[in-house]
Amino acid sequence: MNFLRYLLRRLAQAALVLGLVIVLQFLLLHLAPGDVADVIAGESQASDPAFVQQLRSELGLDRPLPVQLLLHLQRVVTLDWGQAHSMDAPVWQLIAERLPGTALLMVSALLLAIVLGVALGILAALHARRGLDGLISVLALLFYATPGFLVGIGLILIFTVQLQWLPMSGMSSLYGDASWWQRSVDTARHLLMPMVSLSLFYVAIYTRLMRAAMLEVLPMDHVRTARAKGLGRWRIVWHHAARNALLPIVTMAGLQVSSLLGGSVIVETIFGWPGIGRLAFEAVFKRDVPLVMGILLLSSVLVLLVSLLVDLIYTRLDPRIRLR
Amino acid sequence: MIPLLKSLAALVALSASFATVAQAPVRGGTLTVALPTEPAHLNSAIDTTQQVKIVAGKIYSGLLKYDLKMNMQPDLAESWSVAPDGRTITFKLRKGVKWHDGRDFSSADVAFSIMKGFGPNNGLVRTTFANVESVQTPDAHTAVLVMRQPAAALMNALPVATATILPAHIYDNTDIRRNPANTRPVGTGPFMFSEWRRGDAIVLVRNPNYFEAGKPYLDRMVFKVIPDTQARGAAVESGAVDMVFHSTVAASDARRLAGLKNLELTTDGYHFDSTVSFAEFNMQHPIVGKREVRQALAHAIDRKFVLDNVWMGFGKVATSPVHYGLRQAHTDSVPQYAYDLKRAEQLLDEAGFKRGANGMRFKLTIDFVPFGDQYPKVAQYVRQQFVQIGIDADVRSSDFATWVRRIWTGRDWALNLSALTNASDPSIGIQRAYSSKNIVPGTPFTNGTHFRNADLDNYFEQASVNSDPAIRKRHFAAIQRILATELPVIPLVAIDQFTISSKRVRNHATLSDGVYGGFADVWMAPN
Repeated sequence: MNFLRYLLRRLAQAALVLGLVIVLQFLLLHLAPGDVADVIAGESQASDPAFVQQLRSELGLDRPLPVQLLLHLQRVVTLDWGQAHSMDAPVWQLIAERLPGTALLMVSALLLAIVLGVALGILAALHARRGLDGLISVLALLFYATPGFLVGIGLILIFTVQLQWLPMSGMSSLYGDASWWQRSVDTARHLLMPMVSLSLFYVAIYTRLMRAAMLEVLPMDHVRTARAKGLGRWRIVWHHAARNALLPIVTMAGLQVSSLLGGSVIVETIFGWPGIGRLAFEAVFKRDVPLVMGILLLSSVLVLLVSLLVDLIYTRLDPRIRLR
Repeated sequence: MIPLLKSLAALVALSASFATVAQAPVRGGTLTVALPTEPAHLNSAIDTTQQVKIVAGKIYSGLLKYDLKMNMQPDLAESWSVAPDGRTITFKLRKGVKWHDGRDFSSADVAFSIMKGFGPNNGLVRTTFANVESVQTPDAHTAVLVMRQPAAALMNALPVATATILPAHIYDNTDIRRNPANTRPVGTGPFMFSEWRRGDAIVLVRNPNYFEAGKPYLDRMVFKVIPDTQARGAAVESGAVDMVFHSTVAASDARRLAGLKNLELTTDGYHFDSTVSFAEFNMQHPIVGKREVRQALAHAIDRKFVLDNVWMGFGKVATSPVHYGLRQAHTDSVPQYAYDLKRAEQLLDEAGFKRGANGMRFKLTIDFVPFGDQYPKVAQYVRQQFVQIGIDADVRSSDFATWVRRIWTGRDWALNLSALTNASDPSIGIQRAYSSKNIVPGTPFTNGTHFRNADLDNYFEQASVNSDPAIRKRHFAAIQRILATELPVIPLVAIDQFTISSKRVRNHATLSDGVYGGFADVWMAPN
């Protein structure tokens, strides 16, 4: 009962925040000068006022701003996301087409970052202030400081241009008939470089985080007790130390969903990966308000849901945290 | 004996070299082209961006094709004739042409396309086609354009990429901007639409019923979206794509790529996109509104430096906003402004803008079109030059929509670095930017400098209706002299666009609209 009330209150809060976010996003987008009619007419070098006027009235851009806002809110509530101005398709369709790509990229990059980061962090902590620790620290610093686009271009130069091992762009290069297995292998080959480019930065963060947390936990009494009981080394490391050290990693991973979305814009651009990040980037520059609003709505919901989820996981992982 | 052997050997060598030059086309293969931006749709009648034109040009056909010297060749029109008074233009259409859905192509499609398709909807050429009063269709294979007044540029504006012939049976009585065929096009061209993987690639396949028997040679074309400039360079270098077009790898990288043994570079095939970069002025600005100031600034810019260091030599120093490739109009005999900083300072002194206590004469903000990586570089160079002659210059960058609003609506600007497509004729590409009749605040790519000159307006109007090439050339020369004297614009570089492609790709630059044409003749040599 307690839990249900907590959940309802959090959901109500989230809905309120979401409403505010939508209004703010809409106003923010209209603060920038220029609209999609400018962009369409400009790109096709049209120099005819009747043509631009025709575009504006077709797209409903000639109505007063408050009317446009109300119409937009009405559409959000009725789950009608409208037609993208800059592309010839409904907003929901464009998003639905790109969502799997971004989800695949983000989830795989996050998993890689957590697995690699946790492993490196544990190793570093076990060898604290010795050779391996130093090596891992330097590596983490390098990952942390190298921008994703540089990693991406570097990988392309090595693995596509020089070695010719991996495809460099898009999600697939199979045309025509192919089996499920062939398609999966093909997608995995395309995924490898973008995934690594996106995750290295987070590998660095998780490594540092895990190392610090482990160093805190290792000297604790329960670890000493476990050792005194004569338990195996890896059993102690994993069951008694690492599990307790994982808490900050979970928090961090939750917080980073939104930052991953941001990072994916760059990685998706370099690798021509068909995802939401690139779509958002293009939509902003084309002043495609319905499309931008659709993507922002989705990402806001995502961030709100994940932060709620993290709070809930927290209460399970750490019984000291109470639901209030 | 020896001489005979020698000549025999020479003959053998000659025939061998002939064999490599004039190889017979090979059927089959997939040609992959890198797209810098994903098209919004594939209807080139309503949108003339590169990314739409290059794909749609393979699916649709135009009335005419143009060889590299702009000689007209048949496409959907087999023959054509313009009445001596320019009031009627008759096209005889090819017989037996089928749309990709199996329906017959006819003169009704041509009439629809001109009156309701690209005629009113192609931003660049709609003023040219506005002179068409009606299109008569006496039979299924004849289309007669009845003109309100002659349009001299019209016959140079009929390639597939500009004047796309759409299927009337699919488009008539529909909303042309929302027709589902915009993303699943049905054309008459050498390739048929097959698949669109949003954000990734567009796939076309051979049209087995194409009207030129035996063509196209390629089985399939793939247009792969690669948004990053460096990545496009890597893609063509590694063979992941066979072609990058319209200068969409960094110019600094292009020379190196062109030197690789598997790649080649051509600047042919961009006639319809002849572009001149320039610095233009807001004629209402209190300082640069003065002619002496504009002349001084012209003397302060070393255009050869800009050509060599920003465009890496791809082009020629421009003396006129009309590209040198438009031979029917371009002239060099106009006032010139040699690079001379002393002269620049002297002109500024004479104009009453002497150096102040801090060594500066006045403040000036430089805007530039946010398109490609060249214009920010030009802006930085121009700023440094201006500082040397005592102008406190700064550079302002903005995104495309902001820039468009500032230049054509807000008008709070002084000097703007940009470029303009000449199209195939100054009546289409240049008149819009300098005729005072086309000062239309709020509309991009109209006359944004607000330059007004009655003589110039006159010459433009006469050139647009006169079909005598010699008279037109005289009018255009007068126009270029006025522009070079009054200087609403300082032309910088007449740009040569380039294509980098695998040496295996043959015949892709044989027409004036090069990569935007149908590619029916393009073939891939075996590895």
